Amino acid sequence: MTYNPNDDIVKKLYLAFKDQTEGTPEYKYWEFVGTMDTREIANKIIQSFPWPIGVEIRRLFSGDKRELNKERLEQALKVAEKATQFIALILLAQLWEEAKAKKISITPDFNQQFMGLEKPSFGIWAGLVRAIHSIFENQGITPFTAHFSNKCFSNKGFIKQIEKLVKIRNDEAHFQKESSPEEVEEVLREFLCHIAFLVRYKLVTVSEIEVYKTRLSQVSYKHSFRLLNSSHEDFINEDKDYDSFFESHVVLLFKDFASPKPYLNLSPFIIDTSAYLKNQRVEGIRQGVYVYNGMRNESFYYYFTNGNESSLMNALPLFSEIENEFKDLKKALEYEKSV
Amino acid sequence: MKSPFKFLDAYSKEDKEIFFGREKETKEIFEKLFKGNLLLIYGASGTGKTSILNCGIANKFQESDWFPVNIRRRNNILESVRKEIDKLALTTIPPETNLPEAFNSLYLDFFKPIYAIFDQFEELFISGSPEERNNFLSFLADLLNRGYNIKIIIIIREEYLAYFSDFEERIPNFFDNRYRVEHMTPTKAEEVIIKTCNNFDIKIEEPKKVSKEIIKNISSADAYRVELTYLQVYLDRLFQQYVTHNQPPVVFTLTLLDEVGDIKDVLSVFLEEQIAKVEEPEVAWTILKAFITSGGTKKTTSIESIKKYLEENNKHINEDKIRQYLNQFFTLKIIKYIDE
Repeated sequence: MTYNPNDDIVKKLYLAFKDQTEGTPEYKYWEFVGTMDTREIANKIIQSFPWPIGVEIRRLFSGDKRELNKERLEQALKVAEKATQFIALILLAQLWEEAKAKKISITPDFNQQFMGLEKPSFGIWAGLVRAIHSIFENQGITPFTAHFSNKCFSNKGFIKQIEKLVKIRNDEAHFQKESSPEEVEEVLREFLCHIAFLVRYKLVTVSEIEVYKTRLSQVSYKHSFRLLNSSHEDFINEDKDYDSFFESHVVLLFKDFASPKPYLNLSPFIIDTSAYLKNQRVEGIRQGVYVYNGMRNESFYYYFTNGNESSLMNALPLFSEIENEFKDLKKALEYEKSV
Repeated sequence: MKSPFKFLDAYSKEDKEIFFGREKETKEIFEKLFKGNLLLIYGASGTGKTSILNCGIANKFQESDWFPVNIRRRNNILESVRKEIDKLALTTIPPETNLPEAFNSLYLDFFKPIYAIFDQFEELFISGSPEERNNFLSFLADLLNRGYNIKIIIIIREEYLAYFSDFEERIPNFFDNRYRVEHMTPTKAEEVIIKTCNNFDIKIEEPKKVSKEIIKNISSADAYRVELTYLQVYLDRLFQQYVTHNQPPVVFTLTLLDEVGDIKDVLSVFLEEQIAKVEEPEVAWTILKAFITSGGTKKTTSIESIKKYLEENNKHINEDKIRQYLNQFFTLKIIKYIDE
């Protein structure tokens, strides 16, 4: 039987997922998953990651990337970059909220990384993760993804893995050194195990909110969600009633989908255009999940998770909301004005 | 000198550089593929539906996001689905596995979204029994409910759309995601001729005039519309005509067009020339009639069906001989095999 490098990743990640879910109701599910064949386990792993990461892992696992060659290496680095970007953006979303609540002060290190957000790269995302984590650690803030804090940073292992991967990326990009695919695989496996904590969180889009109130009943809010933990873009829709409401059109990270507070609002960093577009067609913008990828001349660029193109969001309905959010972000995180 | 034109073949992924004139349709179909897990593509015969999918759409995807499974009905549509899956699978699928699970196993082998493309779907309505249609419908409803990473694309000639009424009863959103491929406009087709010739280093004398005249020659008198299959056959004929009497570089001129005539001349000359190369042309004509429906359109058929047709018409030709003729037809580009 031919060697399939995915099997090694699946084995390690499966154990990491079990470790992460120990003591939770999901643990039993992962125990059951362990009885399936490796391909099924791989599929469950893909589905359990938030879509922007899961889709890149799915591409890494795809049939034409099973040889340890240049193509596989490129995709391995892409998985690492997109995952680092996702983690940087969830940390940034929390930092923004903490800054608005005046609970933190901004550091020069963060400020330097934040400037790079206009034209981000793998290195910038990695720098942001390091800088924000350092703010949280030094100022006694518990990260929203608390398991991230405990498991990944206790020995700085995660940062080490990211830095290794950034170096490999840079060496590759500047033709300085050819990395051994085996070495990259090993670093990637370690890296993915460090982000296995994400199995405990759910990424969702708030597609619609309806108010329900009668003379005799209390007000309730029917939320239509799209569940973005999936191996394909036909996301499952789910309706839930709550006695309070979330922000409209946004992508949220939940700790617990059943009783979803606290949650993290990832807008405007991650946008699900289907919530804005409904059935409308806008030239240059497709229906689906986009991730912030830079800013040039007052225009915001996003990459489309389900393809490889970069798009401007200016033509999106309610774009002014996104624009205002970026202005607010900048104001809240300016170095001089921080507390 | 070999002709670079497609003749009767549809465009495939490798033809990216020579596939022109369908950018808009490709973009719109591509967007529709993300709007659900079922897409119905319909249009008149000869509008190039298959080429848009196999070339235009296939090239829009990155390698890891597109796994096409092309399915033609042959003798039974579900048997063909299973055959196709087994042909592509890396992991052996036990025979008792139901079809949606077999599809999922194929997905797990490759981790690429599967696009099950049912081309020339009208064959199910032309030759399939009510039971076969019903079984397919049950399979389709089951597959769509499972939430697997598998999308269904059904390609059909538009005159058969009404036959889908049963489908809509079982799958209420059956028609929600659909796309009509229109005939290519003459202006677009002229552009295609010029760009294609340019790509093959074929000169066109007075390009506007010549391309307009080509379109006129391949269009029926009552409707000035472009049959794309005819266009390729016609361009191929122009090429052959030129190289038979001249040295390269190839030049398409109005005089050359006059020599070749219109598409009817081209098709009948082509068929007569090819059949003349066969040992017993009369037998060949008899066998070819088995490929025509009572309505006068082409149909897919099998050796068994040809045998049956010949027997019904009191022509007794044994199977080996039929095979010999079919192989000759294939070599002469008169028919295409679906199976190896």
